[in-house]
Amino acid sequence: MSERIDIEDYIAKCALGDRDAFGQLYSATSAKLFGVCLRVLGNRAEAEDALQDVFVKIWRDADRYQVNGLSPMTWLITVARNLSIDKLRARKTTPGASLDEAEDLPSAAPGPETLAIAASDRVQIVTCMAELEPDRSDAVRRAYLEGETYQELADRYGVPLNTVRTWLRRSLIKLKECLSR
Amino acid sequence: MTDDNDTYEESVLAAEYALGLLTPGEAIAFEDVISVDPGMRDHYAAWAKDFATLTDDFDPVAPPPALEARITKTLFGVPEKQSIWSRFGVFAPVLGGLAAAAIVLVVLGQSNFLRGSGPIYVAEIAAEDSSLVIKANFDPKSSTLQMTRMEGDLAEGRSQELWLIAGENAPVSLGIWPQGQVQAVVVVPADLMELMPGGVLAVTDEPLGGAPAGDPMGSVLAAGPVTLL
Repeated sequence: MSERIDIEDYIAKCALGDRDAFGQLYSATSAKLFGVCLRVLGNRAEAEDALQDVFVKIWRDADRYQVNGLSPMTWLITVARNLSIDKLRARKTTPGASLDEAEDLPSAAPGPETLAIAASDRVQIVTCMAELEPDRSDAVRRAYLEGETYQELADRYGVPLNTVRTWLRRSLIKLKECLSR
Repeated sequence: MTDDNDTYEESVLAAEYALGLLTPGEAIAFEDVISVDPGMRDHYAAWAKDFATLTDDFDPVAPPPALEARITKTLFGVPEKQSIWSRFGVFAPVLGGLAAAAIVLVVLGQSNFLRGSGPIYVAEIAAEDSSLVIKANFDPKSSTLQMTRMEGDLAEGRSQELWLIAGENAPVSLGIWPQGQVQAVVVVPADLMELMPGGVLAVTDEPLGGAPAGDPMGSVLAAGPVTLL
């Protein structure tokens, strides 16, 4: 993986229309971003479409990157996650489409590898998530990685929408307190 | 309500936005806020970073090689296979209009080349893997470009076409490599003379007789910049 400074430099050059820099950015980050698309969508063909959308957006929005306050990899991962979630949600609302189309939708539950790297301060959020009640951290994870809405979470946990909203907001405050420590 | 509570309220709203939990109307309103409120933007940036780390343990997966070409084509309309042009900061526009008549290169018998005084330019037109290497000398005094094939053959039933690419200009054909010859020379047209120094010479694989539309269509086999000897 290229250093942050390189990624930032490639994005800045993309903003100026430098296609070579775009190629370098693609080489440096496409595998990571494809991994994200694939994990969210659980389906290769859709993940490829999503990755195409991601890089088209990166190229077109590169000139606005400087003002969004995100670090370069955070921005790229956020774009990949958001566009993948858009596709996932579109799939859910397409008449006749079903979640069965997902070949092997990965579970949102943290695997052993997540717990193993929780020691690193880069993954402080994993530690803080672990301080939440399991179903609350599961809900946060489902919202981020599976794009579940308040309504879907309410259905999943069998509670009213307002209730799920209240407890998720409380969980986010707890998470924030932990992350700010 | 204390400042702390306000801060947490704002932070939670930013988290809900980052998670995609807001309604479309709420999300648009939030975007309006972060465009003018640096504090709110910081809240959002902090959550975006923290949530993005949830992907830390996702293994990178190399996308299929064809995908990059598809993306490049979507954005630029140029197939990735021509990316060798871009090594020199040049992109071959796939549009007509610059149909230079293909000149068949004159076979060089004996050369009095390099006898003149004045600057001489050279180029090594080479494939990345050196499977095709052509050495070229350009003498502005006589307007002649003399070339010797050092490596690589002509494919049966195909032509190799030589192009000059100068800056942002579309590639201009300098001619077709003569079949069965190791050496060739071309007289550079007067209007291209000043484009030669600093230009890039490239050889593409084309149908017999050269690119039909006057623009390079085949893959780039070799390329190299024209530099002062």
